[in-house]
Amino acid sequence: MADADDAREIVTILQETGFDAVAGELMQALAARRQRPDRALTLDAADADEEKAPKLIASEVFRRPAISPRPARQKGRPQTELEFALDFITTRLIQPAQALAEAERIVGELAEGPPALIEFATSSDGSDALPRGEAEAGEAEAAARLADAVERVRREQGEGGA
Amino acid sequence: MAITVAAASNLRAMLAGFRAAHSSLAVPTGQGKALEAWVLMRLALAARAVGWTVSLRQGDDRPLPPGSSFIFPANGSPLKPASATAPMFVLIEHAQIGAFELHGSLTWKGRSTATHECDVSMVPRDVAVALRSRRRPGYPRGLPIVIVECKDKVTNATLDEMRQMLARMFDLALVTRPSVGACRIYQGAARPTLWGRHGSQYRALYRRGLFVVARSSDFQSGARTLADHYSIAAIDDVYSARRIAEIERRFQQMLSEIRTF
Repeated sequence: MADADDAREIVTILQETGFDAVAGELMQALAARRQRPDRALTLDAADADEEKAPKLIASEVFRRPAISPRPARQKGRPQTELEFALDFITTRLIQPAQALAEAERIVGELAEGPPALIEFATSSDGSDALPRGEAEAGEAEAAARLADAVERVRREQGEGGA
Repeated sequence: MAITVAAASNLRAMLAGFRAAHSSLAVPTGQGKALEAWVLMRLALAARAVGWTVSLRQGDDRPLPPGSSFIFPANGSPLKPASATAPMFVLIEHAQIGAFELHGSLTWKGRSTATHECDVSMVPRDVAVALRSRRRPGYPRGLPIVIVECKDKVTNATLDEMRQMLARMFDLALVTRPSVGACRIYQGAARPTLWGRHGSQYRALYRRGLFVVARSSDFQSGARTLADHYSIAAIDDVYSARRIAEIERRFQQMLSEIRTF
């Protein structure tokens, strides 16, 4: 029950901070997960073994680590609902923000200029777009801070369970 | 152990800051569009790494000025007549091989005349130029050289998701020779522009190209079985360095073989 309470607290925090749609998605995912508890053991975590990355024929992959990985799971231990909720924030918010920032840096590199904004036009003439936010082109500091906050919750949970 | 008050307060504050910085990710489709944009730009960089000339183009086909925003369509879009407000794209060119365009959310038309939006797709330059020269929006027809379906979902993919990808490829593939002449891709017009070799067998045609379902989470085993049989790459945990590098490697390999398509 405590685990479910923690996950519900994450949902509440998302709602309080204006992420109502995201909170709804998390609630749906948690409900689906409860119906299939065996899935808790089959959800894959990020593969942290970067040493085995396939060699590119020629590589210009950005060398700076752009996207926070999800933490590796301990084998044989079911993922708790809180862990699932924290992974959800990472996958749903942090990683896309960091990816979009990297894409904007690539736009800058290809256009031989500074990082440039990427926008998504919702109208056929391009006059309307998805809301953009205050982040500068190519910048994802807010995502990094959110990742730290998520990691703090994870860390404290781990210390509390030790 | 319950979440501490301090940790919850910190999380709340960081989420508020994140929302201010990245409003688009608060809406249901925002994270999906971010993944599409990132995959497309990583492919552009991967092409440049193996000797292709890469340029960003505005909707009127002029080079994107440095510092200017790159605008993707948020929803599926046919190829529109050349104009400053038409969707932008990435042009890749190789003197010995040819020229192609990478598009986000480009809609293609299948044999059934149903339309299919492809999150990231690649179209021959000649076909795209012919479509942009027309007065009305038009659809490329045939099996794209590249399709990357981006699924930024937390839940694992079901078999149905892979069936959807396969159904899209089935309707787009010109295994029956089209009336305009034997080809892989063309644009429907009085004087159509044709590209590529005609293929009468699905699996052989699917081996000539790059077809990817890229997910932030994982696939169920049945989905991978279907994907493997039809040469669709099932890429899980796409945000990890290893997995995006896998897509880039396959793209580069495909570019080295494209002359045979």
